[in-house]
Amino acid sequence: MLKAVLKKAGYTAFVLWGISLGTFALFALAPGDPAEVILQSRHESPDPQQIQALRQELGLNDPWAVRYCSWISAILSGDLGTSWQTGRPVSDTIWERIPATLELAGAAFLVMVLISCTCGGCAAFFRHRIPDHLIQAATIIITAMPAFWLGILLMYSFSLKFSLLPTTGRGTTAHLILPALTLAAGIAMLQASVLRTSLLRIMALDHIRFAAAKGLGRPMIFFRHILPAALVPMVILWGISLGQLAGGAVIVESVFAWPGIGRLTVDAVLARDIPTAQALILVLSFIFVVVSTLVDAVHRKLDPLLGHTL
Amino acid sequence: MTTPRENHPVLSVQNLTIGIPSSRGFASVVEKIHFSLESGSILGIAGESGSGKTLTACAIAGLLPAPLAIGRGRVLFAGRPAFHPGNGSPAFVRGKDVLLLFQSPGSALDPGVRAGIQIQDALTACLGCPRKTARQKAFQAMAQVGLDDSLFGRYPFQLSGGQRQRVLMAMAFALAPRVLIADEPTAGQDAASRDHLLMLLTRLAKENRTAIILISHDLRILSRTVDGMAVFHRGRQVESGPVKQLFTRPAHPHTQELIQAMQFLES
Amino acid sequence: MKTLSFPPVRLTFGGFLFALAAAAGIFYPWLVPNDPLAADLSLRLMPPNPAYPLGTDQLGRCVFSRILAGTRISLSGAVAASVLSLVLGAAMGVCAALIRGWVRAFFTGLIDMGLALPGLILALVVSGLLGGGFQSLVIGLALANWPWWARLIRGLVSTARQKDYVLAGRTAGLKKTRLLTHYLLPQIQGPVLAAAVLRTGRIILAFSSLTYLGLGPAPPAPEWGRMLQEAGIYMTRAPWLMLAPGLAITLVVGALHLMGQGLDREAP
Repeated sequence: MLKAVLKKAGYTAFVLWGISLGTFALFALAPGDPAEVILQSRHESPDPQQIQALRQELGLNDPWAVRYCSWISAILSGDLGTSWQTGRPVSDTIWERIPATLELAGAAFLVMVLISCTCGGCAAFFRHRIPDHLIQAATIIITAMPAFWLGILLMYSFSLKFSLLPTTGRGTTAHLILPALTLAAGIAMLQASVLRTSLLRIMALDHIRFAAAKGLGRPMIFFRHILPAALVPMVILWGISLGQLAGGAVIVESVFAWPGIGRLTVDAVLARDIPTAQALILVLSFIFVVVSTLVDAVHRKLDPLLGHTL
Repeated sequence: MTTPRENHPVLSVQNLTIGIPSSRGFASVVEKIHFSLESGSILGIAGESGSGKTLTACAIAGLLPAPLAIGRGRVLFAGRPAFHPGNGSPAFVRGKDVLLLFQSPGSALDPGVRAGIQIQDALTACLGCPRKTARQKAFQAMAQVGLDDSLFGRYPFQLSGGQRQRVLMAMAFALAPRVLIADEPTAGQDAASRDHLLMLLTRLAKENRTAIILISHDLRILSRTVDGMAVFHRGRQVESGPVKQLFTRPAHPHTQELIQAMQFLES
Repeated sequence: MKTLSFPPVRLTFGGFLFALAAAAGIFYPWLVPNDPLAADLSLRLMPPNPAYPLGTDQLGRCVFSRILAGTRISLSGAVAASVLSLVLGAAMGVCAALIRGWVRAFFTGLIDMGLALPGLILALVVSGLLGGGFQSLVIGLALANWPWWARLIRGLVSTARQKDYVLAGRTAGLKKTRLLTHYLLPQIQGPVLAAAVLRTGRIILAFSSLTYLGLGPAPPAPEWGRMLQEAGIYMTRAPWLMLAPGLAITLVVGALHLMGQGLDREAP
């Protein structure tokens, strides 16, 4: 057991190292001279000597191995670089903005679980009747919509036309509703579809009929036999969705002016603020590798228990 | 419910027809099944695969898979109609009054729930036992069928075929239903397990006065265990009567075929 | 409504819609009522009328014409990114599935690294770094999607090669390349095609998301995502501007989803 854990940890560390290499290579190979960009952002029109001087100062002329090592050692000691836009340490900015994204992602996760369970359950319960058809039609439409369009439409309907909810920005719980809903909607409908299929398949199995044969009432059959079996694939999907939510957060944060790290990434990329973008990629990759390893472990734990049916 | 139940056979199947209702009429699959069962007696239903034995069993238990339904004929439980005339829902309590044990225990047991819990659930649901009592009774039932206590917490995939079949029998003992329908309980098992199961069934009939319908295509089993027998062939009941009579003087050609096949195997 | 669950209907309907979109993309110069790029400030923010079927935007340009013209950008970009990611991912996936030893470990490691980051963020960063134009968008999306393809194809090929008739071929001494082309590829092409169609739909969504954020072909190019971003600014004054680009994206992506579902024979 311990050996397996160590092996997995070693592999994860290897993947993370590879990602750091890839990230470094990505930014180092990108066209454009960082020194030039910095000088231009200071509203100076640089001449070659200034550029060279700055390059020397930033260590851009050193061999790549040296640059990589100094970057990595800085990262490991907590220094994620200094933003070219604001001049502040990147770690400070990230630290400030992570709570907002966590709040959004957390709320979206709850909304997603709620929607997927309700819609999937309804669609299975009312199979082939009107609610099922409605939900399936809604799924096709919502999953084909771009998330930012859904966000804009929701914003227009609920904030502008009917003044029910605030438009943009972060503050009260009311501010959280539209962004969380926009972020969760598409993913949730797809998951509802999977849940529906899962439930229908399980309900047709013999042991459900036998549970009725031996006298169990419908509620008990549902909660003891149907639901646990249906939830296992859902839990896995919910774990994977964390990555999808992150990607979606980038868009949703921009639509609703939500001050999180998704928005930060967009701003950094558009402003060509390389240290921030580089650090963000690394931090985000790290988080996701860890999260997906955990999801994997949970899946493995659930699997032998119920692995025989599914 | 003041009708004295002792005057009626506990289960009476009269002219039962099963089929698929459609706009063009009723397409019957099983026709004119007719037999009755007293408490404590064992009725055997014999016939080849596809002769309608399992469908009849499902019909009696009220578990016909859609779109099948009962057509003409009726089922009486303790002298009263077993199904409400309007919606066909059972007028008896499943599990407590009529218990149907499926053909393959592998598919009857939920792979994701521990074996002992599945027995316990039946007790909680049917007899309204509180969980602790149900648990104790489940252990008792397991002991009665010869399953070790340690198997209570096992998942079905961790049990052998014979053990799974005994889990179903434990449910039968725990619930002590008025009518038990055992569909091919000995299929795919070795001789020792088979004998043990038949012994359990006989005990259930004797001690709990359970009326048992034993379905099997194997006449050897039936010949040793049952009191009366009905022979099914292609959805119809071709012969029925006390088991001795059927074996010594079989009237219908199909019965004769089955007996000959059995004797061929035994010789 | 019940017929909707019958695959050929979905496939036909979706295919029809997509064919319409593709036709618009190819033939738009002959189809547009007005020049998509012609700006006339005196005509700005007009609601739909006979001359301008979907109204005009904030620079007086015909929205309908821009939508039609935008079809070419979105479809060509998405298809290019899709094909690129498929080819790259398939190559990696096949290598990871078939070649033994440390090569397999290497490719598997690469694939896992590629899967580590959510695709949209990677596409965003890569496109941004490469300058942000149409081509950088295509490359960014291709780089973001190839790991998914690699994983899928690795899985498909691994399962396929264990099938009995493939083993028979190997015992008969067939060359590896022949095994690949004649035995393995025909087996996986069904699921791959369905997945490719569905994936292209998702890439269109990603493409328009990135242009919404500001990347992609520079204005005044009529890209749907950017048109929506501009429409968002004029939400209160000209709400109809929000509808057309979003509907266009939804219809095309929906068409691809229907086609993909129709092609996926395993769907219940």
